[in-house]
Amino acid sequence: MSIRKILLIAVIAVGFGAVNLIFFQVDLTEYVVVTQFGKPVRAVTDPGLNWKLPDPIQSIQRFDNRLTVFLPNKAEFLTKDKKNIVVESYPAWKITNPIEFLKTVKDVSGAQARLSDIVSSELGVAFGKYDLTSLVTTNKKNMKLKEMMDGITRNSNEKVKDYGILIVDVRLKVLSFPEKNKLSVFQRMRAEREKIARKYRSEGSEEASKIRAEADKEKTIILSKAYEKAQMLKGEGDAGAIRIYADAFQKDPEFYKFLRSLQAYEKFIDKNTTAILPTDSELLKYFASPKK
Amino acid sequence: MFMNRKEKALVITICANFFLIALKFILAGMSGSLALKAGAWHSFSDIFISGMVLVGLVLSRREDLSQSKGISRIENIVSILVSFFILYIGYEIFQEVIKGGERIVSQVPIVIAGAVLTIIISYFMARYKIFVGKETNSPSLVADGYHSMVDMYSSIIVVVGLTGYLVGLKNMDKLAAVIIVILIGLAAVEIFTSSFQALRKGGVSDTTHTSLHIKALETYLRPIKFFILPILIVIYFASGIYVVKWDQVGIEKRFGRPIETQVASGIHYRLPWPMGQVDLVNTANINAVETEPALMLTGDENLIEVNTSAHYFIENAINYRYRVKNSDELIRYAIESATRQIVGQVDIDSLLTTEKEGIIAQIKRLTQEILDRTLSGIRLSSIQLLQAVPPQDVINTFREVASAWEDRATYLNEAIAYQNEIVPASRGKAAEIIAEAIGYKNQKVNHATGEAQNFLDRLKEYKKATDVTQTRMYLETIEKILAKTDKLIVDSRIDIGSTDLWFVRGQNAEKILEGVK
Repeated sequence: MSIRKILLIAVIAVGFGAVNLIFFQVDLTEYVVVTQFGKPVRAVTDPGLNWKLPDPIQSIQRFDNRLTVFLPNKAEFLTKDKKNIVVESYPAWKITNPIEFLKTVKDVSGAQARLSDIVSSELGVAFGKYDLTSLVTTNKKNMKLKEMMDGITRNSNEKVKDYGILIVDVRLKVLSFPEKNKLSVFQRMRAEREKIARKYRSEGSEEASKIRAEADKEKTIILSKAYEKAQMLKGEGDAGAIRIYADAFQKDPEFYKFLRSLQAYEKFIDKNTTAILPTDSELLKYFASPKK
Repeated sequence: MFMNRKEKALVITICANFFLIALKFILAGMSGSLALKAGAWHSFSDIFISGMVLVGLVLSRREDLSQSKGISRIENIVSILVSFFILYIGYEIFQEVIKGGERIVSQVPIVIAGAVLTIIISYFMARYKIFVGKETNSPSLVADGYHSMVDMYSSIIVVVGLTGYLVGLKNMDKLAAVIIVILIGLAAVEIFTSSFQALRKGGVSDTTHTSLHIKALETYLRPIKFFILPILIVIYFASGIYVVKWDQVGIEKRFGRPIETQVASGIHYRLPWPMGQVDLVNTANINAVETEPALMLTGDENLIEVNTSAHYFIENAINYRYRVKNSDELIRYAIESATRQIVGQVDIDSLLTTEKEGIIAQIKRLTQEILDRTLSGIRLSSIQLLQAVPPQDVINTFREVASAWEDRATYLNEAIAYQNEIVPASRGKAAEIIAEAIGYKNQKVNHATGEAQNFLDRLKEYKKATDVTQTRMYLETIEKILAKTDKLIVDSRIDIGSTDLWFVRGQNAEKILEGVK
């Protein structure tokens, strides 16, 4: 190999190395901090091609600038109305100032450790100010959850400002009672259910009684209406009969009296009757002597 | 068996070649590199040519054997068959190359080291054969040496291909494989022609003249040296060609900065590595995610076990890819958080029964709100409430409520049945009463009318003979009456006022009368 060839290869190798040591790309998803002998000197937040002094004078550190969610540990808090609750929250955060970030928390795990402390303490403070009934409630007016979470996000941001971090959102993933309180909650739920069951049954009986009473009432009304009508009809019948009798008997009351008397005699005089007949009575006029 | 120097050299190199083939196959198996596989087969063709040379040498040394055409004929026919076999292998590998799909080559650095070793072995083998061939004036051995030289080149091509792969030119390995396949083809053609000619002329096959071919090929190929660089450059730039599939959106970046954010499906070009990059995001797919069942507090402070699932798609590829790092976790947390919040606003009964639809809609709205707030680029297509049940500890009382509700219905049904029975019955009774009254009325009137008519008829006749009729009627009646009564006829001279009359009637009459006696 000639000297020239060797030189050419050497130049290419050095050139390639130099390109790698001086130029660097910044992706859309990252921020880059240029450090000089370990001290951060500038941040590159726009994606594209950049250059720096070659290593080891200046080197770079890359930070993901995307939003990240993570789960701090579950924690137990006390609400204003002295109820124990278990809470699992998750902050959604991102790096906004990579230099501050590098200086204060160094890396993502450092940041998450701080975040988890800060959010947790803010949660503790916030829960102390709110009743549980204003965090879980069917009454929309009482609902203060959003207000509380916004407050936590705001206060936490105040504290992480210096870390070059922005908390976009803090949300509750779990909000429940601690294990030991669950039993009493279940007890209450059971009692409540039993109450409802009893209510249903007694409501049922009540409704049923009402329906029966209504039916009985209807029965009485129907029958009495029928009685009324029947009596009216009977009255009409009787009246008609009286009128008809009267009209006829009017024609000769004397004859009627005579006839009716005869009928009456026939009826009321039976074999238990003893008739005492004087011989001078009209009936026996001819009994004593045929001649008058 | 006695061997001269030439034969010894061939036997040694054949053994070395076996080792070479084994090494190449092992490396190919380890990495999955197509170029290495092709190289191994090329070495195989090489070993065969060496074998042919060896046979030729042995036969030429022993005149008696060389005369027997039978053996050399068999040898030539076998050679032709082998040439076809080698050609077929070349075709197979070529097929594998075209089949497409990203070929993943693993353990590249180690494999490169192995391939470099094969280059060295091939090099020394070739030098050794050429050296011995020249010393002993054997053109066929020299020719075989050149074959081994070609095998060395094939190994160099393998190394170049793998190195290209290592720096990101993923297709370099395949390209190397294609070149080696061409070399395999050449070797096959060579074996075929020499054997075919020998068969036609008679006698042993002579690979010497083919070594002349190779020399001629080399002189032809020499100018190619000047093209190697341009070709490599073309290949390098061609590596910028990329494909966006129908369900994807491509985002093209230059030095990390996006320059085209909506690359549609099809074939496109970007600057080659390391200047240009492309991110592909699946936007057409509907993805599903499901939460673990969890106990949640309802608005009336009951606990209920809930889990939900969501279907979503990527609406904004840029946001999805570049705004959120762990989107999968984000969406799961978001659903869980939204579900929890909405469950915390409703009472347990509406969650269990009537208002599920509305609740699901609210969860979806809130989840989308959370996802939008974080600019996740995700759009929910639907949310399902997979499960909303009371916890195991209390489920029995919930069932008890359900049966109480049934009981309630039973009570009501019984009462309604009573009502349905008694009201019509009363109506029937009423109708009966009224009918009876109507009957009574008619009876009364009819009786009266009848009796009145009877009276009037009788009156009419009576009027005609008042006195006698009256007497007749009187007497008839009296007769009938007095017929059944006890009668006491008293003479009108007896003063009834001063007479005591005792009437004893009834059952005791006999006794009393006896007593009186």
